[in-house]
Parts: sequence; structure tokens; C-alpha cells
Amino acid sequence: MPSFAECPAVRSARALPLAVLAFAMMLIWSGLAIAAPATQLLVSFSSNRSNAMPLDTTTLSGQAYPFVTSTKAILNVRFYLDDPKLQGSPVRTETGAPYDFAGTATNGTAIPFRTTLWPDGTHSISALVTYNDGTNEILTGVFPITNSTASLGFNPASMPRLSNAAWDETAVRKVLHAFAYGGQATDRQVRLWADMAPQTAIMQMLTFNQHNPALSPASSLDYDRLYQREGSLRSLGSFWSSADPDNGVYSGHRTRYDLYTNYGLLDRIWSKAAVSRGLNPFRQKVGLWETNYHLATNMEVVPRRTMLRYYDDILNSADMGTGYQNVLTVASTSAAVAIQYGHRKNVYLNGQCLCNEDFAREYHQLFFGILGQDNPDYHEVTSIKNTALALTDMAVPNDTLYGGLGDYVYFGTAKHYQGAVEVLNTMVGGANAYYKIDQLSQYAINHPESLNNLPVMVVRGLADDNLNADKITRIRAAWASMPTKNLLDFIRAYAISTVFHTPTRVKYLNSIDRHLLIASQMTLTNEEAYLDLYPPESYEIEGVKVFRPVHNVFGGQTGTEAADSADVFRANYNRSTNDISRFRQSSGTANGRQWQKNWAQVVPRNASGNYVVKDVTEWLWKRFIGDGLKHLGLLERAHIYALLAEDLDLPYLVDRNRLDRVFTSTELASDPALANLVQDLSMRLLPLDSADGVERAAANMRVGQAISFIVATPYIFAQEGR
Amino acid sequence: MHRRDFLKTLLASGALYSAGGLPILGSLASAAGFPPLGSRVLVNVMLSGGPDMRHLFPPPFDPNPASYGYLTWKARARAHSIADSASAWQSRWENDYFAVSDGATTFGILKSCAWLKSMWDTGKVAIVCNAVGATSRDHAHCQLVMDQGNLSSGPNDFNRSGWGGRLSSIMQGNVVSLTRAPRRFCYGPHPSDPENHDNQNLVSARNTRQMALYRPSAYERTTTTARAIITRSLESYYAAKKDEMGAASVYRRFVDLHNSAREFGDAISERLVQNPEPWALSMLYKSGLTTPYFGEQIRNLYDSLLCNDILRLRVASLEFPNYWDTHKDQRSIIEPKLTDMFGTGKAFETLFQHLTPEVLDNLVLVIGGEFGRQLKANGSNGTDHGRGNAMIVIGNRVRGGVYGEMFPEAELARLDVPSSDITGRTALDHVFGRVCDWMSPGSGDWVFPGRGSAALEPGVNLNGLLI
Repeated sequence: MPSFAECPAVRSARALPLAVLAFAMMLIWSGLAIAAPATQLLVSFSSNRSNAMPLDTTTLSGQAYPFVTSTKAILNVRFYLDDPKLQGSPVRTETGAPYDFAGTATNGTAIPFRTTLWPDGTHSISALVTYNDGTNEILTGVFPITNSTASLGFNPASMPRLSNAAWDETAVRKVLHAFAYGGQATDRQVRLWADMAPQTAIMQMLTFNQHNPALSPASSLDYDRLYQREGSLRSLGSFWSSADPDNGVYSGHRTRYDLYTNYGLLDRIWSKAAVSRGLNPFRQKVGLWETNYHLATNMEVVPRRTMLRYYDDILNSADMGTGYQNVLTVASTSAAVAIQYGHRKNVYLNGQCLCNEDFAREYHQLFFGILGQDNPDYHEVTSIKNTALALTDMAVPNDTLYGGLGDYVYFGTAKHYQGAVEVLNTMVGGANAYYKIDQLSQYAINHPESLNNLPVMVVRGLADDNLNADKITRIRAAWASMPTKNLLDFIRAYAISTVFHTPTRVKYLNSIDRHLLIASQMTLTNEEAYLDLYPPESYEIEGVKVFRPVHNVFGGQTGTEAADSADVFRANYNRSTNDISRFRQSSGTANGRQWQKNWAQVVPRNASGNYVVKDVTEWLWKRFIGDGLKHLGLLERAHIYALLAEDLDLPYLVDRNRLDRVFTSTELASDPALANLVQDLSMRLLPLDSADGVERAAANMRVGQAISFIVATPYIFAQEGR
Repeated sequence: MHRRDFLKTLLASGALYSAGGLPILGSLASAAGFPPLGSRVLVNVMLSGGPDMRHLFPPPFDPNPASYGYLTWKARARAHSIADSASAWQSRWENDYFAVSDGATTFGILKSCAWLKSMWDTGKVAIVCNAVGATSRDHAHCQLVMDQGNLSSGPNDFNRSGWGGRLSSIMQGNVVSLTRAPRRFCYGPHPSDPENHDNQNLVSARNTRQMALYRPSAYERTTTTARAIITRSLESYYAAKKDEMGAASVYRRFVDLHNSAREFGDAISERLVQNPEPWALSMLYKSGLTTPYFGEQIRNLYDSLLCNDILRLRVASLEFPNYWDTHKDQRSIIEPKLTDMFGTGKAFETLFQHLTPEVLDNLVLVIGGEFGRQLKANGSNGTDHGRGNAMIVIGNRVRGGVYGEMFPEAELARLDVPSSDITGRTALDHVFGRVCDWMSPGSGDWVFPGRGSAALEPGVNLNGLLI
């Protein structure tokens, strides 16, 4: 039976205007368009085309063999590479079976598509199929090419790498959960990474680029082609507020993304970027941590457009990889920070510093981790006082076009303290604040206190709330050993090290992390994101806002705070129960467009081609919890099996006269009747691919219901190492 | 002394104010729907950011150019956003401050804080001067030390217990957190690891009117609606996990949160349904304060007192965050917030108006921030980080007055020395420890084991702080 993704109307969606797509979806939803896919665009990794799989979203490397197969009579197939709208000439036309993208050898085998000839990134192959009856069909596959075998050079002795044997699928998923809201990589991609050496895989998994096609692959359903668009928040906001025909944001909501001529919401742009396919969730995760925790500023004070630039500038600087101190200089000399701390008004006039010490202190403490503990008096009276002098004449001009304060600093000299200043026992010179701060940052990054504290701040902020002395020592030594402090390489090395993959690691998820994880894993296409089916900003019901950190410059809600909060627990629980429709809905109309959930496009089948309850349960657990099934015990299985197999809760299923019955793991294992029931439920089939639209929708609802259970368990709130 | 040994001592002496058949206070507040208090109650309010208490309690202006009252007004005029002239300082003092005295020291109270003035006049406000915790001037570290009540805590000692948690533990009750997330003040002592904590005595009540977990109606619970199905699943699941989840599991706390919400949520909802929130209290978070969040906490505190028997309330934790780090424009930032707390018809007055005398007799407010500000205003109409500060203790059983030297003349010599601040002379251990002793006699040394060696300003005796 065809999956939703395989329906012809949708497969060619990428080349269709939004209105046509919506119509196609309506047809599918109404059951009219469900039919076996007569024609498919597949790829094999063998010249004999064996073990073929849909080309769409399948990562290619080396030699691959894309081809078209059909049960209908084909006149010819014209192939296009990276030309989904078929605007150029076809790269090949095949007039007889087999219809190989790169042609067919005389012995009948397929000629390879040498992907190494193409740059790594997202590409597409489109096939215009003309049938003998004169009709045409367009098939498109969007896929990442990843041929890079680059290996992480940074290999600190204090953070030993996992062995290739220990680097497995669970290890990969733990990295994705910790650093990328679980990522959006396909199961095949996860296996590919697991099969690589960790130092190779991590280079593909974690990048600061605006797009990471392997981590966040687009599919042919993602008609917005974000993978081809500028991925800064500014550009994304511009696109999502535009009338571009490929923009899927409901027209009535587009002003939410317009920060310039309307009351756009920066947090909406950020959260959509974090869950959209074709971008890079790791970039957004680190961007959030930098701008809302480590280098936090607050839109209670900072204008939204200034905050937007702050975010983009920090990440663009990080992406350059020239040294973390330069990222911190960008932040320190930004308009956002000058507005937040108020030193935009600091001036040196008539021999007097009309200034405050707020950022002069926090530059050292919050940004670099320098508290002046070795000599508090010197730090107080010399370093902080003189840093305040360095931070003079940093006016933020008004935005003459849009009003309010602008997004850049004018580094003046007339009201700047012109002399060199002593800070951290070194002399810092420069004609204006920028030069002084830039010079100071080059020194501060290697200050002993910064070497001790900054890497710990990074790791604690992103990945571990349970740092012990041994881990801290190792992290510090690794950071200190980097000749140039490169944040990305440090995170990569940490993520494949035994310091990350250790049983003592615990990271509690803050509300944003948890909601983004759930939204990212619930959202299967960008269309679903456009329809706001699983709005990631639902973290706001837990009293949290992005770009408005609850502790102001000291950062947003931490994972440990969320873990201590009964209100957070309650909100999460109530969302899974009182608001279960959010998870369970499998079709409907949103923003004037009809939609249908199709878990079949990602849930794996067994060898017989079926969706088995046990397999689906384990797949969902890996997707949302990512613990290698460690905590998927018999108790969890029994409840989830019941929800998936029978659309009922276990108490009701066993005895509807004892609805408050509690089942222990022991009795589930030892009571023959219960054990048999659980066993029976586990083997049931879930008709996610049924030809019957009603049955198919019901199966999708059960999946949603099972997810609502999984994300209400204790295991959604924290991640352990292993 | 271990907690168990300490409890034995208290039980033997009959000195423990607590529940569970122990000597308790008389029937309190029952007339207003308040169940009897199981014990005295501490209300701790953290003003995070480092509040400038000298702005609230300035010295009187003195026209003598060599006097403390002249030179300090001159040094701090910018923080008041007034001109650099004696007439402006005098005008500010006379127009905007009540002049008050405890007989030995004359000082001002901001006129917009009229409730505080009235409480002072009735002898229910103590100002403990020159109090000090950590001296790093680092917000995070100083808050950590203050919340933990542990002067030895370093910047990375995140997991130690808080003094509110220790106090509620020794009183065999709970610390109720009314803030967005529990402060470290609330963390209870770990049974074996001094570097860790245990939150079994912590109840989180960010919104007391919405504490219950979702549960379908009695009828719907018997049906097969999606909500009924998932709720039955999860209730059954968590009930099993309660016994199956190991105590050492990092996930145990979430099972406990579920159980706690079930235990308290339904009972509190039932109680509060019968006690609608007073209109005046609801207005605090609707429109009455510039910071609705603090108004919500006051409402939560009222509700917690109404439900003190369910919650086993011993300690309540509040916060007034984000406004006290007044590096710039101090006057315009700090005064509305001070007024929110202490003004006529504002937070504390409204709360106190709705509590019975019996409750008020057994309630103490402890209010302060992690450090003080520098003696001299900066160039941004604000003040920068200092160390010493004043703590405020309010209650019917407080012996009002000024404890410690409020305006040390020695400060004059340091006015122009960079970064000069109030010299911390009295460790927080003494202030908080004395409050603990009042809450539960003898508990101060257990909650603050370092109190004996902590600094205490010469001539200051805090034994009579509470009676």
C-alpha cells in the first residue's frame, strides 16, 4: 500500500504552488488519491538496483544508482538534477527500461551516479515521466550528499574518544538529543553515522552552518526549499513574512514574522527555524544558549531587531571558527549588550568617567568566567574600573528607517577614554571601545580563571548538570590544550568522548529544550510546521519565553529549575492528558488547509512489510527518549502496547470494572494472563498504510496517543549518559 | 549534631513547634477559615540583584558640609537623579522621606513605603545593618551563599542544601516555594551527603489556584474518551512507578512531583474552592503592582496559609527578581518596586489585612538581597556592586529597631576610594540563625553550624530580635 509520501500528487509537490499542494492534500485526505504508486523514483547502492529505497531524503555518498520504476507503460523519462521546476534541459532522457538516472550499461546494470562530483549539501533529482497514454508525471527526490570524510583533528587526551565499538546508534541519538533537539536525521542516516568512526560522524552531525542537510534533511514535501535559502533568522523572517508563493505560513499569520514593518515575534522565527527541515537545529540550539543563557540579553530592554542581529552576528561569528574569543568580542561590542547594560551612554568627559560598571564586571564574569578570585581587590579596583573606561563612547544610533534604537554601535573616539588601560594585569590600548575590547578578549580567553570556568560553563549549559571533579578536570584540560579556542571543535570532541558518554552525566531539560524536542520529533514536514500543528513555543505555558530570560542577563530557566518545578511537571502532564488532541489528531483543517498525519513515512516496517506494535513502540521511544531503550521496561511497554494495539488503556482493557488498577512490573511478568496479554498486544499490527482512510487515520491517532504517554513519563525530563 | 539527634533533643525538651502530636500553637485563625497553624512560619523574600537599602533608608540630610548627612547625600545624589546641590539633597530628603528614629539612630523611610513606616512605628520592623554573606560581589555566587546560608560555598557548589530547606526539615514540615522555580534556599538536606540536597520537604506552588493534575470528571473517567484513556494509563503507570522507581534514580524526582501534585493538588483545590481569593489580593497581580509576579506570590502565600495544614507549611519562599541591580537610573527602577512591597494598599499591607492576628503573631518576614551597593553613585545615575547591606525583619513578634551601626562615620574617609562599599560586619548566619531559633528553639545552630565562628558586629546582640 502506498504511504502518504508516495502518493503521486504529493511526490511532485515540491514543484507545485502552495494552492495546488493544498488541493492535492485535500484529495488525499478525502481518500480519493490513495492508490498504489505505479511509478517510483528510487535509489539503490548496487548497480543491479537491489534493495532500492525511495530517493527522497536518502543520504547519498560515493556511487549511487537512482532510477525510475513503474508498472505503467512509459514512453520516456527525462531526468533533471537540482532543477525541480524543470526550467533547464534534462541531464538525461531514457526511452526504455530500466530508467537509470546515469544511464544503463550494455550488460543491463546501472551506471553509477558519482556523487563525489557534486558538492556536499542538499540536491534533488526530478524525473519527468511521460507515459504511453500521453500523460505526464513529475517525481522528485530531495536528498543530501555527504562525501566528506573529514575527521575531527582535536583529540584531547583528557577527553578520550569513544571506541568505534561504543559509538553506536544510541550514542548518536544521545548526541542528537543533547545538542540538536533530537535532530531530524533519517533512521538510515543515524545508522550511517553510527557505522562511521565517531570523529568522522561528528563532523557531519554538528556544524554551525546555516544548513546541515544530513542532520536536517528536507524532502520533496518541503516545498519551501529552506535548504536553498539564506538561513539567518533575519532572512528566514523575511521569507516567512513574504508573499513568496513557496512560503507556507498562513497569510494571516505572516505579520508575526515581520520584525520590520509589523509586530513580528522573534521567538516565533527562532522556534520555527529550530524545528524546520532544511536548516540546522544544532545552530539554533547553540544560538539559544549563547543569547539566552551565556551571553543573555533581554527583549524587555533590547529591541527585537537589535536582538535579531545579536543572534545572527554571534552565530555567523561562531561559524567562521576563528576563535571563541572573537565570538565573545562580537557579543561584547554589540548594540544588544550596550543597550542591555546601559553602557551605550557611558562616556569619558573632562577627566571623568560618566559610566557604570555593570558590563565591565559581567564581561569578565559572565562572558569569560573571570571572577577575579586570585586578587579580588585588584579585580574590583583595577580590572573592572578600567574595563568600564574601555567601554566608553559606544552610542547606539537610532534606527532612522524603522524607529527606536538601532542594531549597531557607533564606536566614537571623542568621548572615549583614549589612553591604554590596565586590565587583568595587561595593558589594553586602542582608539575606541571596539579595539580595546577586541584586544582584551584575545587576552581574556587565556586567563587562568577563564580557562577553568568557561569550558565548564559551556558543558554545564549544554549537556551536563552533574559535573563532578573528575569531569571538570578533564573538561578544563581539554579546553586548555586547544591552541585556538574553537567552540565547535570543543563541543564535537566532548560529544564523542567518554566524558559525555558516561553514566554520571545528567542533563535536565528546561522547558524550551523539552518542547523543542517534542515539536521537532512530532513534526514530519515543514507543512506541518506551517500549520502550527505542534507549536514549539508552547513552552510559554510553563512561564518561559525565548529572548526574555527569567533571570535576565543571568539566563533563562535552567534544566534543574524545570526539574524542581511542580508547575512544569503539571503543565507537561496536563498537556498530555487534557490536551491530548494535540498529539492524537491525525487529520483536519488548519489555517484553511487540510492535512493528514502520516507516520508511515518514517516508522519502519518489519521484514514482512508490516508495522508491528512492539517495533513501533521501540522506534517511538528511541525517537523521543533516545536512551537506547534503557528505560523502556515492561511497565512502559504494557501501557504503550495497549494504547497502540487496542486504542485503550491497560486498566480498561484488563478489567473495565477496576479502572484504577495498578499493574506492577512483577505481576506483568509473572501473571500468566497479563503476560500473555502483553505478548499478544506487542505482536499486533498497526495499519498505518491501510488503504482504508478511516483505518489509516485511526492508526495514526494511536501513534499520537502513544507519544502523549511517552512524553508524560519521567524520562522526557532528563537525559542520562551511558 | 545529626538531624536525628537534634530532633531527639527537641522532643525531650518539648521545644519543637511542629506537627504530628508535638506541642503546637493554639488554635489559630480558625475564625477566618484558616486552620490552626502547625508551627510558626517564616516568609523569606529574596530581592535578587543586590538592593540598595540605603535608598530606602538614607541618612538624614545635614547642612553641615563636613557631616555624614551632607557628604553621603552628595556622594549619592546621582542615584536619586537630583541636582548636585545641597538644596536639592535637602529637598529630596524633606519631601520624599519620613524621618524616623529608634531613639539612637535617625534615618529615613521612603514615603511611598508608608506601610513599612507604620510597621516601624508600631515596633515591628528590625533593620539589621552591615549584614554580609559572600564578598565576591558576584550575583550568582552571593545568591548561592545567601540561599544556602553557607558562607563556605564556592561559586560551583550548586547542590548543597538551603537554609529554608534545612529549617523546614528540622521542623518536620515543608518549605513551600511560591516562585517560578524553587530557589536553592528551599533545597533540603541530603541524609548523607553534605554536598547534595534532598527535596522531599519541598512543595512547589507557583500558582496555588492551579496545583492539581488534570483528571476527567467522575463520569468521563468511566468512558473511553481519549482523555480518559490517557489519564487512566498515566495514573496507573505513576502509581506503579512510585514503588518501582529507585530512590537514587535521577528520574525519581519526577515520580515524586507527580505524587506530590496528586497528594496536595486535589486537597488544596478543594480547600480553595471554598475560599475564593479576596478581591484585593487578586488585584495585586491583576493591576495593583508594577510587578504582577510578586502579586501572584502574595496570593500564593495567602493560599498557603489557608492550606497550611495540608502543606505542612513551615517556610515560604518568595522572590522579587530582576529589578535591584541598579547600575543605572536607580531611582526610577527601585522606587516602584519598593512601593510594590511596602506601599499603602500594596503587597504586604494587603496580605496582612487579610490575615488574622493569630496568624500574624506567628509569621515573620525576612527580606533582603545578596549584597549591597557602593557608597557612591556611579555616572549612570545608579550604584555598582558592594558587599555589606541591611536585612529587614518584619513581624508582630519582632523587636523593632536598628541593629548595628547604620551610618558609620568611618565611611566618609572612603567615599572617594574606588569601589568603596558598606563594610560587612555581621554574618548572615547570625540574622538567619536567630530567626531559626524563634521558629524552632535551638534550631539555629543546626541550620547554621558555623554561626559560632561567624562575624558579629561588636555591640550587636540579636538574641532579642524576635520575642
